[in-house]
Amino acid sequence: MSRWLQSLFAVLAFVGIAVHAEPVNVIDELRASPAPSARIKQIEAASRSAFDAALAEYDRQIEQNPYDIVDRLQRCRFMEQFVASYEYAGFIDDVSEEAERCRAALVEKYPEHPEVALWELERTYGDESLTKGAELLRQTALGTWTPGQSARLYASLARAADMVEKRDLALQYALQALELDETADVRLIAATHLIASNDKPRALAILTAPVHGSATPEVWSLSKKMELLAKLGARRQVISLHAQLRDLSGYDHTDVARALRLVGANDLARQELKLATETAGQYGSDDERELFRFELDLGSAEQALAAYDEWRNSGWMEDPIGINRFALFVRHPLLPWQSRDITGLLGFLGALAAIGLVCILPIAGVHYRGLAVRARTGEPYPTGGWRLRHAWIALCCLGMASLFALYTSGAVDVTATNDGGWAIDATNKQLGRISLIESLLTIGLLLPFGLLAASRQTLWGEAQWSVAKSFAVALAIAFVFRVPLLLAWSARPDSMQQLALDDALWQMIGALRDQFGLVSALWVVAVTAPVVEEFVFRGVLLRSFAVHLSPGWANVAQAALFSAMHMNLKAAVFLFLLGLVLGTLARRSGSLLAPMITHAAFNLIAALLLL
Amino acid sequence: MGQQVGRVAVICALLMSQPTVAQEPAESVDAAEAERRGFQSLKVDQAKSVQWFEQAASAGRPAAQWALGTHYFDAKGEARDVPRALELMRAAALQSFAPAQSFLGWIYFEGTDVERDPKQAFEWFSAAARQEDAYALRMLGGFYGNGLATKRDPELAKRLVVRAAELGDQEAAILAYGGLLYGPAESRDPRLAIHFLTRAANANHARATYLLAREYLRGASVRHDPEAAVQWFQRSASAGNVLASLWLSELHFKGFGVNQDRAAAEKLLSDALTRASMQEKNQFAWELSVDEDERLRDGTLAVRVLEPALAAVTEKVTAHVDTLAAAYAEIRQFDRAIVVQQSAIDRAKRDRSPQDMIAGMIERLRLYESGKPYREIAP
Repeated sequence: MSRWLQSLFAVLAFVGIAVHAEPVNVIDELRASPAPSARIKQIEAASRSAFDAALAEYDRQIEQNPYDIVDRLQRCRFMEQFVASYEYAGFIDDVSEEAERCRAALVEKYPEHPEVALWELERTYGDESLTKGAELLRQTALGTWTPGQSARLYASLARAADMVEKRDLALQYALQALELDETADVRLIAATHLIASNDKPRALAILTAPVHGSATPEVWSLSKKMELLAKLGARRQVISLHAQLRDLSGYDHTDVARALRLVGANDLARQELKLATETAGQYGSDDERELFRFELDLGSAEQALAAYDEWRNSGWMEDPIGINRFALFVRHPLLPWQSRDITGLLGFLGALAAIGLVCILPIAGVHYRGLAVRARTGEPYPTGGWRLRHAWIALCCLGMASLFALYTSGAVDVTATNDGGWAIDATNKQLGRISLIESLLTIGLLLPFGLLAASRQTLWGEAQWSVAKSFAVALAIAFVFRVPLLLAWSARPDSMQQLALDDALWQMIGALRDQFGLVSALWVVAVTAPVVEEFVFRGVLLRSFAVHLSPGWANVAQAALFSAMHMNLKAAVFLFLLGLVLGTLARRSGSLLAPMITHAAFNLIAALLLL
Repeated sequence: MGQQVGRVAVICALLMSQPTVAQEPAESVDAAEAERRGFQSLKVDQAKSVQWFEQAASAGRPAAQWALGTHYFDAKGEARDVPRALELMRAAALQSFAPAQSFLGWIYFEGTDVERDPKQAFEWFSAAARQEDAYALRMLGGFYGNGLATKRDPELAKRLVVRAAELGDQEAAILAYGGLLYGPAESRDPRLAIHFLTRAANANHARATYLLAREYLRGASVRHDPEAAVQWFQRSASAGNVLASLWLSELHFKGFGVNQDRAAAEKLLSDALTRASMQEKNQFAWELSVDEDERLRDGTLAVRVLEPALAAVTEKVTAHVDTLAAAYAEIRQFDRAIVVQQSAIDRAKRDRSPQDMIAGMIERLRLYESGKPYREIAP
């Protein structure tokens, strides 16, 4: 080829490329298969035509059955769902506009039709749903809605009420939906609230009704149903549901294991927990911990040790103060110790040291304040009465009782919560035991102080109020402090149970009641706690502080420590005020009788409302 | 029409619980308000209610059109206006108002006030069923089950009837029970069948309570519990089911599920027989003669009930003669059974009865000739 021809060819080629609307990779031209962008265009065109064909099918249906509103509704629903499912399709804006037109036209043509009203209701949530739905209920009462439509309305209302935690309403609506349509998808809602209101036979009947419904159950609903059936002790149904779940994937093995364990299907539960540990990977050690707890309770010594080792492989922080290793030792004393178990012992000693240190900080503050005042006034350092070291030891006794109690309850985790409180990750049975042992340990540890006080009359001073006056004033103060709770109870008596569950302390007390009975819970709440806490804070602390500080500041200091000890940020100010009043009461009355009665009555009122 | 009457009853119950003074229709209000007042005054003052509905219906409100249509259709004497009712119902149905669509389905299916038109009935029932109208679903099940105005599809028919039962239609519940317990083996689901039957029985449906009592007597799909059977028969009898009264007398005779008391049994029997239709006597006699369960058979009583009743009628129904033969066979009077069965077959052939019916009767005749009574699986 001559040079000029080559040049012409090159120019033509360049011109040829230049006239293309968009650049095309020449490499793609060398093969028959189109470039990726061309492929995408093909797919886009195909999906558009598939969409148009589907829409035409709806239009044909509507033309054939002009009085069938469901066809019209399905056409609009189709477009809405298409927009939600294929939001990246190139023609999605057109579909979106058409969907809006479809909705507007349908609402305009059939403004009050039940099907349209139900469809509109789907676009609302929570309280808005409840309000709109309640308006629609009046229409259904006229008999102009079909049973299916009425059932869908009640089901929507049940879901909305459940979402905003209006439990009684959710149950009422769910039961009405099921009365109208046995396949209404609210069985789990109804059963959940029936179990909560302790109507277990009815909950079981609802969960085991032989109505199949048409939709294939989702993994989530099967798991939830299994959990509820486990709570009802329906072993056969739980195992049957487990068989169904195993054929599916993506369920929470630990939750399922918990349900299986609850009905005594321990081998299946172990299988699930092992699956959980295998599939969880490096994202956390919760599943390993669950397996350890399971094996500790139900497995052999070797199984428990193997599970502990697997869990402990995630690091020493899994069992920082050795509670779980101690629980393993108590259950299987002959198991060999490992060198890394020393971290638990060190953690325990560290916790003891921390208690001592934390308790000495406020005492040191008071001590140095006292020294500073004496340096100015030249007064001698007091040697009689309650001393600051007594205050430190008394505070340490409270902390140690809590710590030791944790070691008697088997495998538990103690974790901090976001709101500054604390939570114990333990079963109700463990919580009950911890509460009771803690109360007994506290009494045991503080008994020497009590004996000391009894032997030295000077430690108490003289009572200035009669017993009757102490009772009268104490009860009046307790009542005043409980006015907010009593008001809350009178406004919403049903929500008290929830209030109790939200607070870790009341959760423990509730667990104690469940396990050992109401008397034991009242013993802890209304006897042990008032006697011990008043003895420590308004007895030992207030009196020892008052030697170094003014009576007012001594009161403030003990009240602050009293509030801090409860580790409940939300109630801190309230508890501080209570501490101040109790301190003042102790000082004015000259004895601990009045504050003890106030404290006992204050706790008792809450216990009677919350338990 | 039961469905329509039921809906009006709901309206009435509602109004009784909310006594409100109806407002004068002369007042100028919009169509929605007129419709609301129409429903409000339905029980208090029907004439005013009709006026309100007229106003709302003329403005095209489907609920008012349906309520007014129901009024004109159910009215007595000269006030009854079927063409007007149809016109109103059609206007509401064309606006996809399910109760009106269901009404049109029923009226074209029944064919008493209009010319029977299964195709139109099918179309209207389909539209109402799409909105989950339980009655329409059940009726549509019948269309598909029998291949009426559409292609026969027993599976779809079953699903429609079951859906209607799920939505609380008691007749559908009984149909579903029959199909799920005694239908084709592959579609049986005894637990679901008894669930539907119990639900209808708990609502005091006379036939459902009767059938449930029979199930407790039989003890195949529920536990055998004659005491429960007696209780359900009593509920059924209270709801007006004569067959239940007949069975109660039989159970008192035998002391089955209740203390034996022949005097009470005789009284129950004579009372029930005075009220029982020929059809009910025939069914009772058939059940006593052919049940698989020996405890539930009583050929002597079957003959005692049916023989005089049949003798008293001049135009005998073939099926009743067939039953009498079965009763004779049950008490081992095969000679009489053969003679009576042969006459039943002759009658069936003369009347051009369905072939499968005649075949069944011939089969029974062969059994009697070989000295065996006939046995049938319930129901």
